[in-house]
Amino acid sequence: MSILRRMSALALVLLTVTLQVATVNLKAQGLTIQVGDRKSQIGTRVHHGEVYYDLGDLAKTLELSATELSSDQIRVAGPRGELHLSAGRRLVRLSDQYVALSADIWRRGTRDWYVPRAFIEKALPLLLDQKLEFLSDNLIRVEVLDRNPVRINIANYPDHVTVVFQSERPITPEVTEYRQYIEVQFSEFLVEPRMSSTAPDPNLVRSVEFNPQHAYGSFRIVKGSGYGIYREYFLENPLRLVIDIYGDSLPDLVESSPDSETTHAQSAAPREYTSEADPFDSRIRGVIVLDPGHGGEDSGTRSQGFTEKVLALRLAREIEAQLGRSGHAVRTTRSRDVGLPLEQRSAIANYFQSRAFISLHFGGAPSPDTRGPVVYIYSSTLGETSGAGPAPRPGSAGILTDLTTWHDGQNSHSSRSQRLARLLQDELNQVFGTDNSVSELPLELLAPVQAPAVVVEAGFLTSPADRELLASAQFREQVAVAISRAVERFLQ
Amino acid sequence: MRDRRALWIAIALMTAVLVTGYYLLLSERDRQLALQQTDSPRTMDVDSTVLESRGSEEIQVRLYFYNGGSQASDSQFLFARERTIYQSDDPILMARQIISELFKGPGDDADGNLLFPEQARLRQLYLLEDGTVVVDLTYETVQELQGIVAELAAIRSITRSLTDNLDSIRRVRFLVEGQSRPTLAGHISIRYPFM
Repeated sequence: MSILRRMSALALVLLTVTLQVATVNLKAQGLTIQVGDRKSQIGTRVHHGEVYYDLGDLAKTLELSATELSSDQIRVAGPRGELHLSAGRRLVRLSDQYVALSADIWRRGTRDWYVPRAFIEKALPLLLDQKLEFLSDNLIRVEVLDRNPVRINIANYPDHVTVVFQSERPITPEVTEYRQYIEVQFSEFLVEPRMSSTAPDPNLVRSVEFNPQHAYGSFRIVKGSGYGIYREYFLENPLRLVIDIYGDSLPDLVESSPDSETTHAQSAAPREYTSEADPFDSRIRGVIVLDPGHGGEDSGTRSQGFTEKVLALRLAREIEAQLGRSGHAVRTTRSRDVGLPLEQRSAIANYFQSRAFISLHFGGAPSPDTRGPVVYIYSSTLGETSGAGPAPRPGSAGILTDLTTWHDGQNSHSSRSQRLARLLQDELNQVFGTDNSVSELPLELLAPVQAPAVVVEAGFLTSPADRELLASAQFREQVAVAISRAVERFLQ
Repeated sequence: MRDRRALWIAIALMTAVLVTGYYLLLSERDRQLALQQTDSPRTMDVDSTVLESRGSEEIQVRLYFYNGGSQASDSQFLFARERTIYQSDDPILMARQIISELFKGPGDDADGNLLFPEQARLRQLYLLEDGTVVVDLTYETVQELQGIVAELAAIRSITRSLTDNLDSIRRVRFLVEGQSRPTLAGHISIRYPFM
């Protein structure tokens, strides 16, 4: 009987082992790499429960050269650099940087080298001028990336440093500010950097560096100790991104009063909405609040190289500069690439007791024919003639007649919001040559705002006609002028 | 004699384990291969299949798709298409079929206006006593709705297709991944039902 028990236990152990082997074998079914129409199988093996891929097969398929340097070191070279791999180690060296993998490099026997999946995902793209697209666990497609030469020019001025990025391809790069540096990220094509021979003023900019570790290549403007603020804009013919770096000694960057005169550079520089502003300071009351839509991980509409969050921030800066020149106090809900919840944007408008709240967006629609600017105001219904719209909602303020509940902020401002919207729509229609009209929708952002409030969609990024217009910096400036003019007419 | 019988039983058990393991391995492999060969997994239209197997009659419904333009008040914002679904006494089954048909898009002649992505799915659908239908969508269904117009089109397309075809549905409320959210994709408030 005891033998029977033992044998049954053995059978159970065997069952467990069988299932484990089955699982691991499933993972190790093989990997196919598709280059153009050609499909190649990459040999796989399981080692210490991890699936490994034959480095020789990978090198052959991707046309990389693999050279064994010693019994435990191998070098893999590709068009963008060289990786050094050591047997039994999980750090892979790329010139002076290391890429950490989740498993060790495995040298099998005396000849074969095997790499874990993390090597394919993290290290290989750094060598290739092709894009690896993981279609499934077992299928990778390799796409050829065209090149995009980007020339960097640096000019030093008494009060600022200008860094110009001139891209051969019509790409709108994304600019993101980090604590130590400002990153300029290109997309779609593989960047070929042509660096400037001029050294920047080290007080403001420590260096301008190319970062090949980005999938397409990006640049970093490393801040100097005297760095204060930057502004970005585009110039055309040829298309150039210009980033001006200022020191922190610029006066009046946080605060501006309607009475003070500001220079173009000062007003164009992004101002921070900070908690340092005194909430009881009368000067911050009655400002115009601009809300560049989206930001951070929320890019908004993306189409053909245009990104809504980037364009919206740029437009806000331009309007802020123009209204600032006319003596208006302007605040923006965000001055850099960060995401904000909708209620926080509405709260900023209410905190400043805004004279006007303008949320800046660019549209997206399933139809490429939908185009032109559309200005939206708040309405509790969908504005449909057939009667569809939100059903009546539970009572709002009720007996608390002197208080306003959060979502009823627009109730007492609807007619002035309508007037602001009509002025904006007219001005923008003239610039775009369209005949669109103001639309009323239950927009979550506008409902709580206790001020004249609108959402402006300054053209549709999904429309080829609008994209063509918005590609021009001159046109974008006209849009900013139109919005500024409408706001000024509204405030008169 | 007894030991020998025990040995035979154990060997039989081990053989069974090995055969089962091998079978599991092969069947899982086949499934993975089948998945790989399928470029775009198609929606399992469970409701239609169930009704079809019960021999239900077919019925024409009028579905509304995004036509173009940006104006909510524009009567041309949506356009109608006739579709055939299976008749049922249960409005939930009818509503599920209608949404499933909407996700397929308007058809070849309006490919450019495809509103919902291929991976659009309805998680669940509830009908409340007051005639409110709660449409619970997956995150993948709404994440590609770019801009106010796309959101508006999604809300209006689903709302009108349900309320026009099913008398028992008076208003439509939306959830995403089972949760009540302020908006579908960042713009239009879905705190309250639409009708």
